[in-house]
Amino acid sequence: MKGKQRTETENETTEEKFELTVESKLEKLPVISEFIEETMKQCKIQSIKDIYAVQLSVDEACTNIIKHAYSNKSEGTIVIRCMLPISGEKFIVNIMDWGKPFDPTTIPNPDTESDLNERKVGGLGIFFMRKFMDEVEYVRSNDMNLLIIGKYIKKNESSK
Amino acid sequence: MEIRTEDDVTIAVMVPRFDAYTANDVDMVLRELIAKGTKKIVCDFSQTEYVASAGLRVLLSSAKNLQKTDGQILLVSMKPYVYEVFEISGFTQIFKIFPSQKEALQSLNQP
Repeated sequence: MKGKQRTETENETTEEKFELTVESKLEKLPVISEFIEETMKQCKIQSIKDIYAVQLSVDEACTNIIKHAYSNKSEGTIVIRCMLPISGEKFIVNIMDWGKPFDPTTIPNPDTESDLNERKVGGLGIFFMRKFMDEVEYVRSNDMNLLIIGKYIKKNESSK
Repeated sequence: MEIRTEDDVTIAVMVPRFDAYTANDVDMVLRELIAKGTKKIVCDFSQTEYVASAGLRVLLSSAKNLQKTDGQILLVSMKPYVYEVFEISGFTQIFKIFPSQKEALQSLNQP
């Protein structure tokens, strides 16, 4: 796959790492999703439900980055780094960009009870991340936005 | 996106990946249909593997636009994981969702 790099782990006993670098373009979203799926499968995570949850969360995070941190400018860079510690319990994704400071964790959840008239359109992306992942953390470090999302994985679950 | 009209109902077969990239195109198509006076739209998700929040946003704004003209939008043939996204978002309470086109068309044809 274009743009995909497998970073060999420095130390195979600690964890597996996979990294993807893409331009800040919405057309890259399918590439990102495919990378997440392949990576999780390589980490022997088979649950379609877990894969979908991480794909959706990373997709929403990257959409936010492209739209807000990079204001839809395509010359930005997004780096996605996936890690599975040797314990194999938690799949962690670090998403990095060098756009404007943008902390999605400050966005309130939408009111999912409201009817069509009252329903507002925004806020669903971060809501999905909170719902589908076990950890969502934002760090601004120098000129970089870092979003860390993690999901506990049930081992040997090959079901749906 | 495939668009088909049966009597006064327009059936739109949704894209396989309904994400922020494809959402703009779907939005334009639906806006155009509504602007042309289409009142009954059935969105068929049988080809759709993936729906992100950008997709939900498009459906919500279409539903709001159709409400102004007394129209309606029905959703059909969702895969379980797609349905779950609608459920978590509270969209299963906003939209009428049917297992297949047949049930949706029956519901539209009821007086």
